[in-house]
Amino acid sequence: MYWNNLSDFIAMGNHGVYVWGSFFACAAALCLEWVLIKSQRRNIVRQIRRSATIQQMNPTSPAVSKDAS
Amino acid sequence: MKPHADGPRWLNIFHFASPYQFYPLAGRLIPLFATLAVLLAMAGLWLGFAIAPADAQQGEGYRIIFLHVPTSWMAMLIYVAMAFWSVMHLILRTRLSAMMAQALAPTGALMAFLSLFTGALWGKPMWGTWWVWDARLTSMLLLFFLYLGFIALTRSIDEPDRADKAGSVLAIVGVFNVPVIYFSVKWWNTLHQGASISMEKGSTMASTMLIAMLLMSLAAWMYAITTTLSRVRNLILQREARTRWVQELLAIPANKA
Repeated sequence: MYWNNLSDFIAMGNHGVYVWGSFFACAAALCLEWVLIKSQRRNIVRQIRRSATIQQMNPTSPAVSKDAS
Repeated sequence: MKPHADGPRWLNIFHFASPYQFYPLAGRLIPLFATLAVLLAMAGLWLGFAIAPADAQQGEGYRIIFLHVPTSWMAMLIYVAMAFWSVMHLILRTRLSAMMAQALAPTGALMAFLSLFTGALWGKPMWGTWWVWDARLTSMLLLFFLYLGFIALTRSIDEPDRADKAGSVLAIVGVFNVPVIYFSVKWWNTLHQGASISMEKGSTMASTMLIAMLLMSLAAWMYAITTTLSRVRNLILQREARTRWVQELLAIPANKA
């Protein structure tokens, strides 16, 4: 362990703002990206279910494609 | 899906070029890469922020390197990967290749942004300025805009086939910026420092720092693979929404009509 105490670790030799600013910016950005991907997925699934329901109530709309690939 | 006559199906690389086959594979791989990303990042952060000594010239401020270098490398690598899948799309006409390129782009843009952001936070205490129009900084900014251009272009065209083709061409044209970024510190001698690790000279860093940086870079790789696979699954669902397998997957009752 390089650090003697916690306050040295936080101060980062008077560069704490820059070092921790970088660290939290990266951590926040990556977490946010992950959350966005998850919420995008929920939206897509919801939309597919909704259009399937609409289609079952109205069978004259275009049918489900048989093509699987 | 009919079985292939010529050998086991896992030997056929085109087997997984079908979105229907790739979707479950990606789903199984995501937890693996996510776990690796977290473990590598924890090890790298521990080594870089708790164990590694201060730098002789830059003191503690140099520790930004453990975030700045991995994000910069990732920004460049993801663009190369995007160009690779674009070439594959144009040659093999596989739709999944184009989806891969589009799934990579947002993560690449984020990495380019973080590279510029951590770079600014590093430049301020070391150079006394947030930004200069240095060759490396400018070419990295261009890379960020290329990502944004690619995302805007592919999303602004409604027809998937045309969006894929236009995006592929843009990605391939833009890839020539990547070697410019990489060699910029050599070709133009400006403010940005030279490479800490180079092909010819090896590393100029202390071994603890080097290992920490490599761990963080590997973590960035694993993270990028995780997000790309998750995003490509979203794209597959979206594009294949009307196919039977997606409907069955989401347990939507079959249409009796």
